[in-house]
Amino acid sequence: MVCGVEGLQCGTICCGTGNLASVAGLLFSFLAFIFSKKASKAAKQAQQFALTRSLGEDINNASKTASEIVTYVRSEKAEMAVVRISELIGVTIYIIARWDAKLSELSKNRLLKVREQLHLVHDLLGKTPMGELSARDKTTLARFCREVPTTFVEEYGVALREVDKKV
Amino acid sequence: MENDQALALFDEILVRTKEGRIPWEPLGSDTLLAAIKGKRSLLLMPYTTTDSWGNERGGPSLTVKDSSDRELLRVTSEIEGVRPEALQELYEAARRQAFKVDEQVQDLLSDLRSL
Repeated sequence: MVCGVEGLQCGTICCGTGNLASVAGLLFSFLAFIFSKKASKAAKQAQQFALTRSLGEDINNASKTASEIVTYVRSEKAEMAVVRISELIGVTIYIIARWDAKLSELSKNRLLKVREQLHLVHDLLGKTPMGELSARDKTTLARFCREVPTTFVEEYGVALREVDKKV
Repeated sequence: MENDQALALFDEILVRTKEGRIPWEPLGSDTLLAAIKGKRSLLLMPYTTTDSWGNERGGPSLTVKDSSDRELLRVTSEIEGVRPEALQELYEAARRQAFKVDEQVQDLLSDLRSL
């Protein structure tokens, strides 16, 4: 009887220890789950941050090329301008394709406009020497020099704003 | 040349332009552009072709391009059902919108009346 009681007590203690271990196990599993969730969220944020930063880098490089083109146009170096314009057309197409999911509809519309402006000026500089451009073509060039670098600078700002939101 | 899709597209663009729903913008001094939902662009030029001397020939033409810079479609008066007057009408309506002609004329009118 005594032995039975002891046995019972021992069983209760063992059972209590077992329960405690189960609860502790559950708690650790729960904590591990919470931490893994947090780690996964942090990893996702880091990935998003890196992607947005790259988008910013791409647009910043395009912006620098656009400024170079304007310098060539203003100093009437048409051949150099045409070469750099061809490059920038390619880069603009790449940015729209590569960052399709990251760019807003407005940004994509603005980049599509830039691409067409680049085509227009490319053809214009290719067909006539700069000194012989008509008043109408000069208006087109002036609009190009004013709008294209500004668009890239603004889009760079938009990309940086996205990075700021994630920091 | 028969092209039902091009004709249908042209009719829709003309109607939408008259309603002021297409965001036409000036590209150069007389070329107009509308970027549609970040996916495609519409280019409206006051001429059809240029010769080797750079002289512009023919009435207005409309070009549709995708985001990869591929030309999808070109609408000229050579397409059956597309009247040259309708293309001219489209160009004029788009130009008025792109250069905000109506607003500017209204503004000028009120300026003149206040003199």
